Amino acid sequence: MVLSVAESAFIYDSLVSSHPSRPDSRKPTQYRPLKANCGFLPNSNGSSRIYNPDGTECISSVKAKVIRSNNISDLINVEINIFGEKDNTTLCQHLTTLIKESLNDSFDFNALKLTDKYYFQLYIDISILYLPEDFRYSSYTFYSILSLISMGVYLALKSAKLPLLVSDKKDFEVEEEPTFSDDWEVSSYLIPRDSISTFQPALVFIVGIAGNTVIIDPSLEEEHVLEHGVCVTWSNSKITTPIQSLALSTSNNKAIKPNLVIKSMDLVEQVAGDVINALNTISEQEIDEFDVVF
Amino acid sequence: MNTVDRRRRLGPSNAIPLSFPSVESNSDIENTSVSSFNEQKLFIQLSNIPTATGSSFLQLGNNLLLASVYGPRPSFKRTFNSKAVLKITFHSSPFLSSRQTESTFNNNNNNNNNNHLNSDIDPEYQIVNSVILSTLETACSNLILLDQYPKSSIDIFVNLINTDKSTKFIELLSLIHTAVNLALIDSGISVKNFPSSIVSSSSSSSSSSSSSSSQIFINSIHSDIYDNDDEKDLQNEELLTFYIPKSTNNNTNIKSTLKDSIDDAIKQSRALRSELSQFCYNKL
Amino acid sequence: MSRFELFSPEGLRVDGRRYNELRAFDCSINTHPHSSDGSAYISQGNTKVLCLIRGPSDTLTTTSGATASSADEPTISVSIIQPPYATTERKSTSRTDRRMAELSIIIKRALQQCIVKKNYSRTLIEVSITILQLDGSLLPACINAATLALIDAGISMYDYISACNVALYDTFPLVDSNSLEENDLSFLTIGIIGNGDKINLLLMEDKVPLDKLQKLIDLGITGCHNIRQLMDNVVREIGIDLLSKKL
Repeated sequence: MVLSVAESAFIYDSLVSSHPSRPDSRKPTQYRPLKANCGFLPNSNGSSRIYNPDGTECISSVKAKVIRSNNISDLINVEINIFGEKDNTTLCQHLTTLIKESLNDSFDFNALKLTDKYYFQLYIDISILYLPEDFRYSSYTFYSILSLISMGVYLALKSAKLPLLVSDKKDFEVEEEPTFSDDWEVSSYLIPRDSISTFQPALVFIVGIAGNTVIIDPSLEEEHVLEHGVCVTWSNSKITTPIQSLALSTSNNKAIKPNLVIKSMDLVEQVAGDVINALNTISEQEIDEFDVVF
Repeated sequence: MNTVDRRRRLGPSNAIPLSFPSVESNSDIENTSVSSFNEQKLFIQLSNIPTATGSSFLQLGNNLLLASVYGPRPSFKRTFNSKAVLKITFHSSPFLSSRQTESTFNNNNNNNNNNHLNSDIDPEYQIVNSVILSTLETACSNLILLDQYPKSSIDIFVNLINTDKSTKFIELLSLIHTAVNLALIDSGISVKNFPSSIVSSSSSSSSSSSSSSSQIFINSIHSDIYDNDDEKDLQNEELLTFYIPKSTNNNTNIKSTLKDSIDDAIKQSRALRSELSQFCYNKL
Repeated sequence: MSRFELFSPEGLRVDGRRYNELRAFDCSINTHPHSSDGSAYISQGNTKVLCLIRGPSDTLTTTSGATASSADEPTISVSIIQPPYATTERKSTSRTDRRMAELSIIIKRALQQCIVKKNYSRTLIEVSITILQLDGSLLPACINAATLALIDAGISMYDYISACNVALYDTFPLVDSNSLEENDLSFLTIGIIGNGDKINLLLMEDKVPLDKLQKLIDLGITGCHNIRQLMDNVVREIGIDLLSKKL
């Protein structure tokens, strides 16, 4: 979206005023409407589809594979595929890094432990089906889709099911490969649904900063005038790493005051609970018919 | 400053650059400047690449770094650019294998993805690489006055020549940023202010052991407003980019200690900056 | 031979179908109204394909580099994306996969024949196909999805192209093969324009005895007609729905 000087000045001024107003009249803590469903790919352990009103769409899938390893750092693998982008661009790599880092820092690896020797290895594949055309010819970086991707991954992980192990858990002495029950009715969720042993996969929030205003989920118009972006990770009801600054667009960048970093964390703390609740509700909706998604 | 100044950005041809009186300082500044963060001596050499607009060479312990800035050069793209286009390339020497092989042996202590660094095949390498690139891009686009160079492009190259496994990734990150900062200063490209980058480790008040410290990396400049009071002046610092890696202690609440660690980092950053800027003035 | 009994003496296939029965067929159009000019989702058994169409648009604004615009026909660009999770065993396919490039050329040729070319001179129609899940009959699913998406985009066509796979087990032709059958049997893909028996696509990569070929083609044509009917029902239903909203 190419904004004229007057347009961007108007949006900027209304954002930095003492009563900030956003172009789509949202509150600073309000998200754009999102639609999501999950568990629709029978070939994957978990899957999700999440999309914005502007058409940006993200399909994520979680596949589990049994491996014999104790190197925890390669149990989670992430791959992002963006329509019209090459696989090895800096953007793809960096999005992959952030998602992987955030998951690694917060994941309860006991959930992946199968037996003494075997682990589940997770492959998380994300495809972005569409990005608004405006992105390509302007100053936008793609980092704002990080929050969408992160929510997609969260839903896919939440909906992921693992088959029931029927062989012995303590196989340190015995030479046998783990065997599983054929019955998917007895499968269990990767992330337990009971309140004691459960944990939350990390969610990445994108906060935009202009003047002294911090806003969540910046839209394209807003990104154009924002001075700085911050990505904040949230997991298990607290702020975790990685936290870093991002350039959301290259048109109006400025350095930020340190207190705004803390302010953006406050904002994330305000909204995170609601976002998690909403996502949990979506992930708990059972779908019987796989095709109702589209 | 070895560009041909065809557009007279630097003023009329007979202009003499500002010269500063040499400061009689207590610290020994010849070609070395004592870095405040690591007790180790930091070796800096500027303008070592004659074809580049600005370049810097850094050595800290076994870490060798080379940064160079080319441009602003005219870019003949079809679309009109009202500001300079920034391109940053990070490259680490292919023969940096010692670090990787050694670190895989003692890998079981944590799943820190900073352990591996230097193999092209290793996916972890890409992870580290992308953090370096994205923070550099953010910092440079915030620092350089890109508006002043329409229809042009600026290229920045960073070359990591050597490193060792005792250097943590985040320390390397700050070193890389320092190298780029100095190269930019050397190039004479308009920047907002003198930048400096630092890694600060602050141990949280609850736990006394230094192992459970949280680290923060910042690259910051002083804003346009100055205050005579040193404490108040801390508020006038602006962050170009920052990065908080995984803390070794999971139980610490990042947010509670963040305020202090940022303040701490800013103080250290300023100490480093005063030394670096003195060094640069002397070079003039 | 296979571990499975692909066709039992009683005349049942691995998934319990008879030789001339299609798998569960489901389709919907206009699934992505904001991100594309025409979109369709199709599922044939466990094969699920999504097709988005952008265009007809000015050839100058192409995202895939400058392409020479032709004066008397549209430029159709087809891209097929198979994400790693599409198959049962996770497998990454590169963007320059030769199999996919080959398929996209076949699809492009098939579509070129059924679009009313003269209406779209000097334009670009971008077809992007995403394979969400793969269980045999890949090419037919792509063709069927592309047809529906073209209809949704409002691009004038002579008629539907419908396609289906036919496999040969001994002397029995089996329609709409799944991946188990395709692994072990020789099969061919047939595409038909409209309700007649004009073949517009025929792809045979395996050996088939000459005297069985006629049988396979006959069954394939019937299968295509059935699929056309199923797609037509959905399109008409949506058309009636749209009309009622207009009034």
